[in-house]
Amino acid sequence: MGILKNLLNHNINKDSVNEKELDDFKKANEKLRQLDKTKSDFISLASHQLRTPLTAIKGYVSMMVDGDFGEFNNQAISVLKRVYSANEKLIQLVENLLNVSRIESGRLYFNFQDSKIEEIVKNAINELSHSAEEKNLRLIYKKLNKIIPIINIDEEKIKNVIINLINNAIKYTTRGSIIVSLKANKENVEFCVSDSGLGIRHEDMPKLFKKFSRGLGMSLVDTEGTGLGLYVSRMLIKSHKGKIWAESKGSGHGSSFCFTLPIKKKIKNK
Amino acid sequence: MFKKILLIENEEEIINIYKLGLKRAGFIVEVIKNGIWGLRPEKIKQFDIIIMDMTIPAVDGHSSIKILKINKTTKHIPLIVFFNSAQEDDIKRAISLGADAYLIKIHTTPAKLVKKINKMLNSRKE
Repeated sequence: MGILKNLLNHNINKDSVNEKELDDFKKANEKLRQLDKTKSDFISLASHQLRTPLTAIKGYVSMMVDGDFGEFNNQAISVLKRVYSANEKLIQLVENLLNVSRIESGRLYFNFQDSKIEEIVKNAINELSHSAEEKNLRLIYKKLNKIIPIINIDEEKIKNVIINLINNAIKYTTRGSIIVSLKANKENVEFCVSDSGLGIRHEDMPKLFKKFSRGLGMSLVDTEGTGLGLYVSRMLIKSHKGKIWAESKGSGHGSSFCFTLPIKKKIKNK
Repeated sequence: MFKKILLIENEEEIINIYKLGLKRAGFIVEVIKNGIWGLRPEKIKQFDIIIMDMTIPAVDGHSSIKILKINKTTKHIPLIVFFNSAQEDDIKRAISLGADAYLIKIHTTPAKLVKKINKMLNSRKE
């Protein structure tokens, strides 16, 4: 659609535009806009419809793991935890799809409130610890300052970002550990996930946070994913007036994904 | 004494899970599947906590919150908005109308809901 718009502007500027051509471009542009809206509406509807059965699976499996339906042997518990973990990945995928659809249609709303980000981080680690254990990875939390201040954020959106980043670290790390850290200075709280995984090639860095950019430079590695996680994360952090970035010494040297969120800024709910 | 919970929800699977989870945690649970009840505070006043979906048939969730939080006999009862498909601006509106908390179904488990309920009931005792 952007190309068509440029072409349209280009033709207008050149003053050499043929009336019929201009009309055709406008019609094609409108058709594309409508198709784009239909796509966003479909994604939104499908994602909403998926939420109820995913909620049901999550509820039942968590009750089974908690022993609400009697005791299971260790093997059964391990299988149930895998089902829970797989369901969580589906939930995250649905959340990402919904967020992309909302971002693109301008219907992404926020519920900013004063929050303890440390609790959100700990909950996310807790939810993802089984996925790390399955790959024999150590998931370590490091609090680098004694006090992490309360910040004004949309908790669900920031949890979505944190889960995206930790999930990525688990996905692209085959051995070693993943360190999740939190620190604060006078102005910002900084969250980082550092892994001992595949790392990122220098030339792939600029593409990382773009939509559908996945497993860059890692085609030999069989990984799942849609390439939406980092794109959604960038948009959500941007909406919080924060910054998100990646660091890596290159392929094979692990990587770090970090974001900062401002402490003092209160952002209006939209 | 067992605490009484009113679950206003119309999705069968969600009702099954949460009714079971809450009963196992020692609560007495009553379920209603449409919002007409939400407009009758004289029946609601017997409950210790209300858990309410925002997309219930017959009456919209926001109107129900407003009525329950204006009425003298029900306004003190903690009300948790429990939703999945509503937009985030619905939460903001629900809180501004007097809802005491909200939980997103897809990020909640029965154990998490029980923890939240106990926290809210305990904070009322203090």
